[in-house]
Amino acid sequence: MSDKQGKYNKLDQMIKVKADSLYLKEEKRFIGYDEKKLLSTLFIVLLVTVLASIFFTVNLVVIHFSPAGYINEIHNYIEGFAHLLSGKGNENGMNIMVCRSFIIALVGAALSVSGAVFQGVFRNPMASPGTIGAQSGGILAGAIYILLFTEDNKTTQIFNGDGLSDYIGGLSLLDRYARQAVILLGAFMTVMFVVWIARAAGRGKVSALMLLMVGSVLSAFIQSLITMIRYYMVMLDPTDSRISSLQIFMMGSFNDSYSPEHLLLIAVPVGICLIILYRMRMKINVLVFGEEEAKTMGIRVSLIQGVLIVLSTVMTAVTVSFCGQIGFIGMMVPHIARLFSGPDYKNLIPVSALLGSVFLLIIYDISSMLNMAVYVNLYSSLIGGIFFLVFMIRSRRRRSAEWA
Amino acid sequence: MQSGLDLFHKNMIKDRRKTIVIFLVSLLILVLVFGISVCHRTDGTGFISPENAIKNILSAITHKLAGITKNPAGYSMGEYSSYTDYQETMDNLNSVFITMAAGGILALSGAVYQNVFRNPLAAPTMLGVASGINAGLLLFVLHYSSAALIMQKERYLYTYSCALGMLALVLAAGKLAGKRKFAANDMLLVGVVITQLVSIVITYFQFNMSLENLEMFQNFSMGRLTSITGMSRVIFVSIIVVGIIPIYLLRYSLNVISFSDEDAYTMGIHTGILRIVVLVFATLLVTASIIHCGSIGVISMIVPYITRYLYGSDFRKMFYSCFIMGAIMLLICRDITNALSAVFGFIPVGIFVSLIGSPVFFCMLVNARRVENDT
Repeated sequence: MSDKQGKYNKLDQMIKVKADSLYLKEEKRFIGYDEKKLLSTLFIVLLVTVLASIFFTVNLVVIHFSPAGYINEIHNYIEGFAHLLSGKGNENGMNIMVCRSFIIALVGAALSVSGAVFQGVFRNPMASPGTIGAQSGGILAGAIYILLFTEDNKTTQIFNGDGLSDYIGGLSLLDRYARQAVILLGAFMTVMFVVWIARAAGRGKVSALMLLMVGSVLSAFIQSLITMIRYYMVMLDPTDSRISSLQIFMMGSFNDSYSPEHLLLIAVPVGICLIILYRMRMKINVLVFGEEEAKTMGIRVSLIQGVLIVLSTVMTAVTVSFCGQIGFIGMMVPHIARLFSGPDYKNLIPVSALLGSVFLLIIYDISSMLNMAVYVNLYSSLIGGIFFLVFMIRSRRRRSAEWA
Repeated sequence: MQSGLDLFHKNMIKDRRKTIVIFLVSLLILVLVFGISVCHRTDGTGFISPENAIKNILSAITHKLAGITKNPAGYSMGEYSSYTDYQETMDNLNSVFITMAAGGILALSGAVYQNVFRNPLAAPTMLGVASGINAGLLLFVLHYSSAALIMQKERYLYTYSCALGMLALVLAAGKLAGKRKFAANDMLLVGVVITQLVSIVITYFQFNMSLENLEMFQNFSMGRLTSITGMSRVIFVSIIVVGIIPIYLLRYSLNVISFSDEDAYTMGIHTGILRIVVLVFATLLVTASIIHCGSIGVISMIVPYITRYLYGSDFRKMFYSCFIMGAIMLLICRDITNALSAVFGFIPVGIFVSLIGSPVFFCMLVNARRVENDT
């Protein structure tokens, strides 16, 4: 009898020990003890990757990716970088490429973070700066600007391959960046219009599907307007150089952003928006639960939603105004980032920012390796779109957030 | 109790009378618009008097009959007035009839989409057909370049096969990506993604095309170079027949689809497959009308609104009334663009429709909300 009792006690103890260890493990996981370590390594790895890909991009474009040239020019590269750091910008292309690759990194970060925020606010895996209408509105404004305020100039183009003829010395800031200002305004007005219509059609509340559909309908409408503009340009004068500048603008190009001034003009608004969005991370987390839940948790839903939409639209509009349309980055990157970091926006925002800049840098490298640096949109859409479809198909059961 | 029933009957009879009156009035308007379109010269330079128009049509019919019966005397029998001849009269008649049919089927498919998705914004082009047609045209122009103008059979082959391929792609991807099988909303999401993707690729190819090809592609996609020949008429009519019969047969079920899924199940209707079948046939109709008349998809979003406002949302009534309203709207748009083209040079109907239609559509969306809030 006692023997049996002892056996049972032993078994009990064993089970208890096992349960305790399991519990401890669970607790550790719950506290995020392991995750913190993992995430910090992830951050470091991503940062290093960003820096490496910036370095790689600079090298690639300046030296045209030939191994012999690489060895020869590495010396020049270091020299050029030193010149840049000491303030004496040299004009051998180094200066331009360093600024440009930082701009690319910033644009990638801005697009993917705004995509992540849109997805959280509308609780929809499809929401992105492209589907809400920010990009197409910006493109329409750019097309109107090109049509009305520029002249057909056979020698220089507004958007061209060299990227240098845009520079006009001795003009005020607003004169030099009139196009960017117009595009900014257009993107902004379009998003506001989409949200207003969706709110009106959804009887007071903005449902995600409604917003998405209004966005896509309006985008289709805007697309037809742009098609019409191009149609009449081609019909009236097929040799008009504005046609190709419009098309380059639609295909996304970094050839127009090269100087430290551009870098500053992109970095300041994007940086401010990123910081504010990171400060609001917990509010986005609550919004993800749904509007009713967020309301009961004491959050002013419509105000917070509005602020978030405005911030992400600002970021997207800035990128569109400098680089044209770059699709699918904002839709694809947050999903990949969510695989790494989980749905918590505290981690999701920085991870998707870093991943976005890595992706855009790689895409830019691919497109310039194929000697078509003006078709960034094509490659980003091909890679991003196909990835997105595959992602939707493969992970329909185990998406990390319920809605994404 | 008795008085309540009486009231109900009275109301029902009143409703029916009202519907009949509206139906007759819209038929009258259709006849009127048809008459105006027939009297309207195709180049937009003015009107023929109704008397002359009737005379022209009668002569054209005699001409045609003479052709059929091989009676040589018939060719010289007809008299044409005010600088028209047989060819112009026939062309005008043909284009009026095709416009009416296209408007009707567009409105019908728009109504089907809005019913199935229970959403006022669902447009039939959302499953990727429009970009499929554009891709087909692009391939066609790139393949045949300058010979593309004559090759009509190949054009239909390319556009139809690409549009149907896109539809199949979207359906397959939507089925794979959806959580349930054949959920309509998943199709929409996937359709939006694939449409964006394809349109960017098309833009890229336009960027690299030669100028003649680009001009030709644009003209084709605007519906400018689509001439009406016997073959295109046969294809158009046969596709309409193929697409419209299932929708006509399923018009009772379409009423049930617009309820929620649970209600439909309790009424013994399996919504999943039915939705997809109806959507595919509606998409077929839209494809035909876009290929033969240019991009006029906006009609399909506006007209169901007007129809629902006038006739109520019973799909049995919607089926006929959408046809009439769509025909009226598209005929009016065609006449206006013809008149404007004479002044400003060529204006494609699609551009006019989307320029006028989209603001109207958004206004209606906003207004619909107000009406519902009031009641």
